[in-house]
Amino acid sequence: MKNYANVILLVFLCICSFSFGQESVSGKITDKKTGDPIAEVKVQVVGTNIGTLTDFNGEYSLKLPEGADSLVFKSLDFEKLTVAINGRSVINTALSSLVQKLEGVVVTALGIKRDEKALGYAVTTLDGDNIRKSNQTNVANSLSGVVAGANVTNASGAAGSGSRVVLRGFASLTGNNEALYVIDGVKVNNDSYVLGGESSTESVSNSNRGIDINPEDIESVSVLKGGAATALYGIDGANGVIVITTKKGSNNENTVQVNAGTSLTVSQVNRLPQLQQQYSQGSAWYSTDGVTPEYLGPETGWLTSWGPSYNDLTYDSSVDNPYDQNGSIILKPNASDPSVNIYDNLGDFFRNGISAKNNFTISSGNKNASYRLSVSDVRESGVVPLNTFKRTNVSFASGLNLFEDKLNIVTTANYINSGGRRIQQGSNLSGIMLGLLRTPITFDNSNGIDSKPWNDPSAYELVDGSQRNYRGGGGYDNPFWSVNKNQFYDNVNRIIGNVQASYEFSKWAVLGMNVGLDRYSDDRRQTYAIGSRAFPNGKIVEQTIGVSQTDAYLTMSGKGYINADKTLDLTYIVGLNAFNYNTDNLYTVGNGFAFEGFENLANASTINSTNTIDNYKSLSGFTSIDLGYKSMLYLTLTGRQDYDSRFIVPSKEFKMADIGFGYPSVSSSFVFSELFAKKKGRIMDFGKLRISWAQIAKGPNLSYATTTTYGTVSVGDGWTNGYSFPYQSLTSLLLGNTQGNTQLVPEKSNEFEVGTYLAFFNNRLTVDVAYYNRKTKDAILSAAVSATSGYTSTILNTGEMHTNGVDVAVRGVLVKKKDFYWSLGSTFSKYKTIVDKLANGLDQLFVAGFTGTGIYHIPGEEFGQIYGGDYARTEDGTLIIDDDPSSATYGYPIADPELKVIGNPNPKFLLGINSSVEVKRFSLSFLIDMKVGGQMWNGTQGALTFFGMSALTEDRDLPGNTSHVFEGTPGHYDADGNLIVGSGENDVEVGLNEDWYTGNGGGFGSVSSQFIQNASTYRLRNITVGYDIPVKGRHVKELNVFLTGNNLLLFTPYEGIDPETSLTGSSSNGQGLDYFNMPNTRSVTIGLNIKL
Amino acid sequence: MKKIVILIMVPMLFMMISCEKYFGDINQDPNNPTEVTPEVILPGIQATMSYSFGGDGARFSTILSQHIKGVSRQWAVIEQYTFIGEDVNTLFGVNLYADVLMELNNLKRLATENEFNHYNGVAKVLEAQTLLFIADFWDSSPYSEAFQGLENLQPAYDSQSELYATIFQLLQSAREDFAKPGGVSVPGGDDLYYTGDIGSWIGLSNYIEAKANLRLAVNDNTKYQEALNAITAGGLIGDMSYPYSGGVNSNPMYQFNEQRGDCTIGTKISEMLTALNDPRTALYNQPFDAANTYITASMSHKIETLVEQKFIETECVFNISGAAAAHPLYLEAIQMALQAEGIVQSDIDNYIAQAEVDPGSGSLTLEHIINQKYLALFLDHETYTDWRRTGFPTLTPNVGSQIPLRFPVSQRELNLNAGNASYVTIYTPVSWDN
Repeated sequence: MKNYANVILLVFLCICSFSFGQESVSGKITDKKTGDPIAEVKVQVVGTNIGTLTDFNGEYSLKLPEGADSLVFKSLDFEKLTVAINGRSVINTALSSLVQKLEGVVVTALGIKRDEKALGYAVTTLDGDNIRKSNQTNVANSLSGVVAGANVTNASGAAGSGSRVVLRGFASLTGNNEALYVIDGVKVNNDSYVLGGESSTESVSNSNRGIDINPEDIESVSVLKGGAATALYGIDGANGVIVITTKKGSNNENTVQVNAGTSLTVSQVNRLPQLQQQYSQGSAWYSTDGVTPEYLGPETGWLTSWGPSYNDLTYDSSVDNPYDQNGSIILKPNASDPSVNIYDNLGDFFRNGISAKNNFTISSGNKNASYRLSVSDVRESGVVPLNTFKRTNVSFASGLNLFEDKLNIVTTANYINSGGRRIQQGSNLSGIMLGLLRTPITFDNSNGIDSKPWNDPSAYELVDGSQRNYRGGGGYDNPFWSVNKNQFYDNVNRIIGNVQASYEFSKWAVLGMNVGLDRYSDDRRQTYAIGSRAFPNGKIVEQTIGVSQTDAYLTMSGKGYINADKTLDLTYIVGLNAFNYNTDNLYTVGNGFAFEGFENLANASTINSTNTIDNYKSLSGFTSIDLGYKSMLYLTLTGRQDYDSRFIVPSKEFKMADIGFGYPSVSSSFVFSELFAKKKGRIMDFGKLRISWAQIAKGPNLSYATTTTYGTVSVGDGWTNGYSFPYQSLTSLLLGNTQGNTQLVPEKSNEFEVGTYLAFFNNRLTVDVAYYNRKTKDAILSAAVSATSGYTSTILNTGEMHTNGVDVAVRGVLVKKKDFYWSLGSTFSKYKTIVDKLANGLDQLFVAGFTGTGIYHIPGEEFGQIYGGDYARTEDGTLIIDDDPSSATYGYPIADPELKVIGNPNPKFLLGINSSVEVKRFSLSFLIDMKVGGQMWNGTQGALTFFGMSALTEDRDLPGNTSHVFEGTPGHYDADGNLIVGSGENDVEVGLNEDWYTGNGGGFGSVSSQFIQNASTYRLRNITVGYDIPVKGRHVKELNVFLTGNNLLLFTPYEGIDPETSLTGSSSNGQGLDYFNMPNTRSVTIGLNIKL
Repeated sequence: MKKIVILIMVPMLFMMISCEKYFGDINQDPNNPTEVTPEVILPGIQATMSYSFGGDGARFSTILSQHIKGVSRQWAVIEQYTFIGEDVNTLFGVNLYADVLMELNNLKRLATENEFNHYNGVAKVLEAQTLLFIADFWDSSPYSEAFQGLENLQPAYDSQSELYATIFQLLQSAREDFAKPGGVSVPGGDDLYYTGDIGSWIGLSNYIEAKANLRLAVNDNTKYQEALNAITAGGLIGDMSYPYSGGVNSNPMYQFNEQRGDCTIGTKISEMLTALNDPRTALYNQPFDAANTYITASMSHKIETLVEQKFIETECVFNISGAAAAHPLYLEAIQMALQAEGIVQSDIDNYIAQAEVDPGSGSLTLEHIINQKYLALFLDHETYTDWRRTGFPTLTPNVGSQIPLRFPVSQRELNLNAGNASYVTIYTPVSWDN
């Protein structure tokens, strides 16, 4: 309590310290690190144009105008500093070098601050400003293109959607591969939950919980990528760690700092699939001659658009048609009759998304105490009507330095409220993209309503209250119905806080502790109204996911020289860590509403509820010892021993040794530039070599993998909602389909890394290169096994994989003049994770997606391949064309009955190019982000081809037209399934028509390979223009306006939406699937920051 | 320095000593039990079995016997006989093996350990019935090496004749179990087929035996007599059916029609109904959607019926003793079939009066019998087996020159049990069909 009293007192003191007019001020400016005077520092009275430059001795003197209250010191090579005058006539101050920042102190594992040059592994450090300026709601997205080795995938453009960060390839076959988030030294939760009872290929776009982090509160981010960097985090850090340090009040401000910012963003869909604009709803299947396309209207419930051209159709307005205000659609009796309207259902659906961000911070401090209070609010409405996301963060940080700085206590407390209303997507009868893209051009989803059709039932309901859609109430939801009537709300209330304390007994003995708590409850409510296509009788899900984790550290550390001539220095830390993870997931589903309009559990005819608790704990001891010789040669040794409850086998007697696992690391840095540091005229300022080796381990994703248990029966066949107990008063439990493994051990990786960091031309050119190699064995996999074993999957410990990769970061300052600064930087990363082995006899492993077309691991191939049906081919890949004239597919390519690898979703390399220009008060920065190579299954296009809606089908063959000859070799399968390949070239003319596209030529046939497309992206991820407005008032210190464009330009060969998308969400290892995914967005933001 | 060491050591020691307490029972799954009792297992098995037989099992088989027609999406493709291993993954693997058969093994284990003999008998009859389904559609399949989990992740395949031997053995063993006392725990309300009536179970075991022999009779005429013997020894006492009740307990075919609507009634059956002016036309020939008054949410799934039994009897007698002996049984079967659908007697009489239905005792052919069975067992997978056995009713392939003669091998089997499963085309006959 005393702590807070101090702070409050401080606030008053600061506010009361008005300054009175004085005549002049003088002083000397020095380099904070070297103590040398700095020449040519611009000294300016804040809010005026009055200023001067320091002389060669770093000295200045300046006449002050009436009302001057603070000075700003600016120099290109140093950090800008604003100092309150407070009535002083002499102000001496020291500036921090910017160069030092590039090559200075970095935050490493467990918040240990270390000289960058001492590190034997690569760390990427980002300034909070970089994060803030990227203007992303989800902090993960700020890392894309700026961190070498990071692959960031934003799941969709929906407001509040999740985002995934994978560092240096994949560490786990089926477990979590996302980087760990650590804030102020303690782990925070980044889970992403799919609504209970739904699969990852359907439902809504869920957030990853990292979205709760407020970018405004970030002081810096250290990205720890390799094994040696993360070794001290043990089992949880195996995927790399994003170490975030939050802003605190400064101890030497001596004034109250107030910052406020506001911004407004307008976003729109950046890319949509191409649709045909010619043919109406209908088919030739039922026409009298069986070949002429026939119009089949909504009342027939017909699904595809293989009807006549809209130019051959007209309205019969004499008929009252509930589906169309213009009347019924008929073939033109006379060629001169007006054609029917065609509608752009897709383009007309999306609107401009708007988001507003506001933040306010106040901070202050003195020698002994500091505080910072921050409030931030984000409100977004998405490009899909009624899609919203909001987030409110309140954070408070306070610091105390007592007993001559021996005792340090820092506490942070954050409250976050986030959530919104989300939209059905994916392979789901209520998914809006399904309804939008499949709707024929002759049907108007909005029923002629221009203004907010999503709120007007006459758009999506018929007079009798049943659903109005193009399939006469069947098929999929009218998207306007879905957004209005199928509602998903989530509401997260979260508290993240920690207390860090340290006491310095001596420089060799600093006792530290850090206790963090992260607790939230994610309350969700999903309702499907009566008449929804996914759940025609209505359904409600109420789910509360309570997550709580605590992370506690106790450490002893120290540092100093260990020999008399101060050439050898030692830093050590030894400590204990206890971690506890607990989720309590209560899921209640009510099915079948008794009456319409009241979507509540009380109205459900059956209610089922399940409660799932997941709890694990770990206890660890760790140590790190760093030795340095003459600031030139460094050696770091670390060790960690974890005891993890997830390895306990309940049926066996408990022994600590059974659940304990240790792993060491060793790393070294050799600053070879020290050898010629004194040499004049050198072009290299700094150069070091890094080398490291580490062992890392990972546990299973969840608890209880060591047992096989019974679960409530739920039967399904993949087509229907299925059958579940209880039935009347009976319940039933059956043995789970996943067999537990009592022999479970952690998966272990060995990682080797070598790299260099070089700086040239007065640090104007820096190069950082790292090569790494990681081999994993005993990888834990939840493996699909032959169901004839009695189980469909089991937990195996048999996987092997390896990753090789290179990270490069180059930065050059092209121009560094007074009033003109221009830098150019680039990051390059290339990695390849190869799956070497799954299990004996197991030659493929389903990861995500659909069983017919999904992401699988295949030994010998890269991680997570796209696997599915292909055409039969000769050895050189030529198609085999059916040469059996009696066959239905005569003249068409034949499908290979066996599935195979048909695509690789992993990019070949990632390249980011960023540049920043500052001219006087203007600044301009941009980031070009490229993901080159990598394929995606365009399942959307496949399905739309079946439906006669994809642009591919615009150029269709009409009846009698056989314009196409498939290139290939004639052949067929004989009765025993052997492929008989003939000779010569196929010359059979066939039509690319309804029969073909609704068969193997489309997405519902057995061939998926034809919809595998290059998903490379070249995008202007971010461009920002800023202007520092000259301020004259005495109260405003800085005023800055900026204009930011995100995702403004995108080039991709992909024939669908922006391929930076994920059907199965941010937490899934299955990337590379597009099946009616939600499109992405581009946005423009205008904002204002003010500093008082 | 001493102080420091103590400062570190004390909490460390404290933590180490209390480690066991710290971890406690933490990895014991609080959500799910590891052991249960038979009455908790049985309803789930029966539900899964019915959902499999009456869902995918019925659709795949009757799309081939042309009771139904696939008109949309994946089902339009299967209609064209692009019927692939992916399509049967769930039915074969998840539903029949991992759920039904694995749980039956589990139930047998529990029943054997505790001497719950009647549960053991019930499990064996259901196992025989499921194996018959599997052997008829997939020919060879794992059994003797199956259900061992991590001990054997790639079980070898038993041939169809081995599976049949197992089926007869299981049925025999079940009847022995039923003859013993039930033990401390006996099936009752948890038995959703026969509410624990052991007589009914014995009847079912004989009936399954008859059904199995009927297939073997394709290559061995003497099996007709064995089939007949099994029925006369005491066949089905009442229909074996699963009671659906709507909502999350809805009939699988109804759910499919409601949620997918990819199929309609088949051309062949609707032509036959029309040609015979069949009073069941109005029942069967409705749009396959939620408004269908025949296939409703609470329609019971009839798995085995007295009607079917009567047709089996008729066919056996026809083959053993000829048309005249079979004729009265034939008429009785039709009478039962129409009655079961709630057709009034006058309509039944008019129907039978047609020469196409009743050709008279001397002119009765196997085609008459099987055609009427085809009309009686709407959406029953048996119609596909009947067609394969007898060639009736005469079907024209939807495309090409052949109708598939089996289900495709599950793709998951080809992938995950590659050493044992092998690809065969769907045009390859199963062993008894050779």
